[in-house]
Amino acid sequence: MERKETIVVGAGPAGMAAAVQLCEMGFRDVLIIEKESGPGGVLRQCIHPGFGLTRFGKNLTGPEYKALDEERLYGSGAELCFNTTVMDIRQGEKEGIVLSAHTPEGIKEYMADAVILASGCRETGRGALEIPGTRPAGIFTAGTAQAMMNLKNTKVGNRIVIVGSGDIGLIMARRFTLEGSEVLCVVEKSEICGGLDRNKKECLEDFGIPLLTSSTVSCIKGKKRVSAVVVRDKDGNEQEYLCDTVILSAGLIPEDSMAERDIEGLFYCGNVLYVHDLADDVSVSGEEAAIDAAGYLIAKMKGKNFDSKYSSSNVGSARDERRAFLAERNALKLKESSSGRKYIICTMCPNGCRIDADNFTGGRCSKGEAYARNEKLDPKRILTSTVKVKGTGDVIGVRTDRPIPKTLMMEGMKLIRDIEADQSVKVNDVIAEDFLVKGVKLTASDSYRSEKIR
Amino acid sequence: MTDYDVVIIGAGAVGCAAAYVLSGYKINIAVLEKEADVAFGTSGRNSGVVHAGFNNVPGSLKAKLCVEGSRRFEELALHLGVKYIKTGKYVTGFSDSDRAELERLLKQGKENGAEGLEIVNGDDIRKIYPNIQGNFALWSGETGIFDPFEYTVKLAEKAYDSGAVFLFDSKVVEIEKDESGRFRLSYERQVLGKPEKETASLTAKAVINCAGLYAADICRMAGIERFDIRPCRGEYHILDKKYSQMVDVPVYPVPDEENGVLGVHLTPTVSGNIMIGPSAEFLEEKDDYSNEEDIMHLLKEGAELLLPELKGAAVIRSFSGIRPKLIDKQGEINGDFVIESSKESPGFIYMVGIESPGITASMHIAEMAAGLAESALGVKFAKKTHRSSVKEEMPDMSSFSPMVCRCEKVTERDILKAYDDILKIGAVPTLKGIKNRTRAGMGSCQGSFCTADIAEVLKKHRGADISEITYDGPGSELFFGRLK
Ligand SMILES: Cc1cc2nc3c(=O)[nH]c(=O)nc-3n(C[C@H](O)[C@H](O)[C@H](O)COP(=O)(O)OP(=O)(O)OC[C@H]3O[C@@H](n4cnc5c(N)ncnc54)[C@H](O)[C@@H]3O)c2cc1C
Ligand SMILES: Cc1cc2nc3c(=O)[nH]c(=O)nc-3n(C[C@H](O)[C@H](O)[C@H](O)COP(=O)(O)OP(=O)(O)OC[C@H]3O[C@@H](n4cnc5c(N)ncnc54)[C@H](O)[C@@H]3O)c2cc1C
Repeated sequence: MERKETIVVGAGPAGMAAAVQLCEMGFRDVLIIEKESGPGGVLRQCIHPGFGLTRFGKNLTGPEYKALDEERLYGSGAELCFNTTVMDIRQGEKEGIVLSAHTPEGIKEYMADAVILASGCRETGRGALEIPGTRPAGIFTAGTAQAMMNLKNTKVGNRIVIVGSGDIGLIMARRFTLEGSEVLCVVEKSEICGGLDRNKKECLEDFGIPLLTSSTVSCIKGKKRVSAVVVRDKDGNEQEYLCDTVILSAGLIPEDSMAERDIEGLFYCGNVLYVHDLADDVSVSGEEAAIDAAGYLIAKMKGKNFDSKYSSSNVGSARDERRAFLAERNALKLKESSSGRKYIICTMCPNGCRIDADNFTGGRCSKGEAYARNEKLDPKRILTSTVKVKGTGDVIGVRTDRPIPKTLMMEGMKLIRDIEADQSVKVNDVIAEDFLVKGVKLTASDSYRSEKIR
Repeated sequence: MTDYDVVIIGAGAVGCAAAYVLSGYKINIAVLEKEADVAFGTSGRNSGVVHAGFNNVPGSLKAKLCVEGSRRFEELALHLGVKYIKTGKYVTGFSDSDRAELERLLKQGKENGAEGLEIVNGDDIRKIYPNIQGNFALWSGETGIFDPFEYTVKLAEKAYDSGAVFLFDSKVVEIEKDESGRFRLSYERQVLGKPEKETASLTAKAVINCAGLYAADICRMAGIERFDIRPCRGEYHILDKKYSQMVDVPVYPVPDEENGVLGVHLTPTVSGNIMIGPSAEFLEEKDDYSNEEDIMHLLKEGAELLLPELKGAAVIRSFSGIRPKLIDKQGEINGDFVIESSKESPGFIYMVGIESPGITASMHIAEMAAGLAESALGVKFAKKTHRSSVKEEMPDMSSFSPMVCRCEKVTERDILKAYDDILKIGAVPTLKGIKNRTRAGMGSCQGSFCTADIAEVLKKHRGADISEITYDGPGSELFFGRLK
C-alpha cells in the first residue's frame, strides 16, 4: 500500500485547483489521480466561451481555461497519476483513508490522511428520465454529443430535439445549429429555462430555436433509429416532431458512487459536491476544500476536531442548501419572466443582469449599460468551432479573439470549413488573420496532441 | 458449403441450445438468424429466472420440460460457465382466495415433481426479509436466477467450437422442397454498403424452426397453416444497484390466471440489479418493444405492493419483451409448448409458443427436437467421441487496460474480447452485442460516458469505421460519419 499525505481524486478544474492550493500552502506529499490520460475533465470538450470571467477576468473557452490551470498544476510539485481510476474509497481500519485504484500497474491500494474528491458528475440518461417509447439508436446525452463533435469530429444528428434546458443542452443547440444540423426545439418540463440566462439568449434566441416550457416528451418513436418524438404541453396537447436524434440535458448526478459516506478526512469539491453554474465557481470550491483539508490535518495533529462545509459528513446539507438556493433563484426568474418587462440580459459576466431595453438601467455595474446599447445597435458574439488538423482525421477548437457581428456567424462557419491547422498547433496560435473582419484573429483554443487523449 | 444435415432457424436460447446439442453429433449443421447477433429476440428480454415447475398444468410439456430443466440447470450453468444463483423464490398472497391459489400451486408443483416447495407464513418471510409484504407465501427453494445473454452466448460459442455454422443478418423468407427431398431455404441479407437486400439459399435434410415470435410464420412457409401467435408484451424497469440489498430473492404475486402470466414481480439479477415487471398486454405488431407511460406507472405500483420501500426508487432503464402466445382455432390461448415433427413435410421440426419457462426448458426442448429430427430422417446421429474443445484464449489479464465503462468496470480489453468473440461466431459487432457480453453501458449512467469511448476503442484497435457502428444492426447507425 502506497502512503500519501493527501490525495486528490479527479483532475478537472476542481481537482487541479485543490492540488495546486495544497502545494502552495506548503504540502509536499500531494498526489492527484485521474482516470483519463491528461487533466482537464469536462473542460476539454467545452470549446465554447464563457469560462474564466470571474477568475481570470477574460472570456475564455474551456480548453483555454484548462491550459492556464494545467500550467500551474505542472509547476506545483504535485505528483500526477493518469490513466488511473479510483474504484473504492473507504475509512482505513486503524487510521487514514484507503483508496483502491485500477492503475497501469494493476489494482493498487493507497492510503492517505486526507482525500479530496473532485470526480465531477455524470449526466442523467434516458432510463432515469423515464421517457416512454422505444429504445432506438440516436438518443444521446448532451455531454456525449459534445465529446463526439468536439473531440472526435463525428456528426451526431441531422434533425434534433433537445430534452431539458440545462446549460449543456443549450450550448449544444447552438453548436448543432452552427454545424448545419437543425434543432427543432428544446423541451423543458418546468416553467422556466434550466440553464443560465446568458445561454438561453446566445444559444437559443440568437438562432430562433423554440424553448417549449411546461412540456415533456411523452414518447420516443422509431425502431432502429429515432424517427420522431411526441411533445406534450401542460394542457395535454400533443405534437409530433420528426427527427433522427434526441439529446438529453436534464440533470447531472454526482459521481461519488465509489466513496462510502461519512469518511473522516474526505472532502468533496466541484461538481461532485453539487452542480455549480460555472467552472470558475468549481475552481474556487477546489481551493476552499484544499484549505479546509489542510485545516483538518493541522487540527488532527493537535488532537482537535475540525468542521468544514466540504467534509464528507456535510455533503447532504451542502446539497440541501444548494437546492434551496436554486429554488429561490428559479422563483425569482419565474417572477421576472412573467412581469412582461422588456429587458436585455447582460452577458458580460454570469450575473445576468436584466437591463431595461428602453432606458438601459438595471445593471449592477457600468458595463451593463454599454453592453445593452451595443446589443441593441450592433450585437456581437465570440464565434467558436473546430477546424481540421492537417493530415489527420482530427479537429481542434478555434475561437475568434474578440466578438464579431452576430450576423456574420454563419458566414464565419463557412470559412472555417476550409481552414486547416498544422499538427504542431498550440493553444492561442493564430490560425487565420483578418477573419471576416479586419483585425479579428481566429486562434486555436487547445494544443493538438496526435495521440489524442480519449 | 451450402448443404447441411440440419438447419436451425433462430439463434435465441432454444435455437442455440439445439445447435449445441446437434453439434455433439457427426453431422453438418447451420443456424440462420435474422438479427445481427444471438439473443436479440425474446431470449434477451425476460426475467432470467430458472422456474421450478409449479406454475404449469400437470401432464403438459411445459410442466415436464420445466421440472427437468430446473433440475439440470445448475450443472449446465457450471458446465457452460454461466452465472447462476439458486435464490429460491416467494409467491406472496394476501387474501383467502390467494391462499387457496397458493395451496393449489403447491399441490400442482408436487404433482409435476417440483421439489423444495412449502407454504410459509408472513412472519417467516419477515424474519429474513423484514420488508416483504404478504400474509403468507409459497416458497420454492429450487428456483434460481441466471444471465440469459450469457447463457445464449455460451451455447452458441460452444456449438460454434464444435463445428456449427452461424449465419447472422440472414432472414429466412422461403422454404421449398427440391426433387431430392431436401429443403431449400432462401434467406435475405443486407450487404454492407448496398441499399437492397441480397438473397441467398442453402439446403438441408432437416429444418428445426426455433423462430420464437415468428415460428408460426416459418411454419406457414413450410405449408403448416394452423398456428397463430399473438404477441403479448411484458414491460420492465431496472433499478439502480443501490437497491440490491433490499431483496436478493425473486418475489412474485399470485399469478394472473386469465392471461396465463405471472404478474409484476421483483427479480434480482445475477449482476446485482432489481428488475420490476413484467406487465402483460396483447399487441398487433410483433416487434413493438416500446414502453407505455401508464404501464411504467403501474409497474412501480406493483413493486410497491410487494416491497413498499421501493417507493420512488431510481429506475436506470426500462425495456420490454414479447411473449409468443399460441392461439388456437377458437381464439383461446393454448397454454402449452408445441414441439412436433411435421407429417405434411417430413423433416420439418417446429416449436411454437415457446414462452415462459422457455429458457429454463431450452436444453430439453433442444434434445426433444434432436430426437424428432432423427426419427424424421430415420437415422441415429452418431455421437462425436469428444467435442473439439477449443481452449478459450484468455487475454493477458496482468497487463494494464484502460477502464471504459466506469459504472460496470469494463476495460478496453473486455470490449475488444467481446468484439472478437462476436466476429468469431460470425455475428455482426454491435453496441448491443458488446453490452450483452460485457455489461458496458448497462450501469447507472447507461452509456452516457462510455458510448463514445467504445466507438473510439473499436476505431483505434480494430479499425472500425465510426459511421458503421450500429446499436443493434443495419439501420441503427449511431453516428453520421465525420463532421469535418
Ligand atoms: C458538458 C458540460 C458543459 C459545460 N459548460 C460550461 C460552460 O459553458 N461554462 C462554465 O463555466 N461551466 C460549464 N460547465 C461546467 C464546468 O465545466 C464544470 O462545472 C466543471 O468542469 C466541473 O469540474 P469538476 O472538476 O468538478 O469536474 P470534471 O470537470 O468533470 O472533472 C472530474 C475529473 O475527475 C475524473 N474522475 C472521475 N471519476 C474518477 C475516478 N473514479 N478516478 C479517477 N478520476 C476520476 C474525471 O475523469 C474528470 O477528469 C459544463 C459542464 C459540462 C458537464
Ligand atoms: C416477459 C418475459 C419474461 C420471461 N421470463 C422467463 C423466465 O424468467 N424464465 C424462463 O425460463 N423463460 C422466461 N421467458 C420465456 C423465454 O424468454 C422464452 O421462452 C425464450 O427466450 C424463447 O427462446 P427462443 O429461442 O424460442 O426465442 P427467441 O429468443 O425469440 O429466438 C428466436 C429467434 O428467431 C429469429 N427469427 C425469427 N424469424 C426469423 C427468420 N425468418 N429468419 C431467421 N431468424 C428468425 C429471431 O430473430 C430470434 O432471434 C420470458 C419471456 C418473456 C417475454
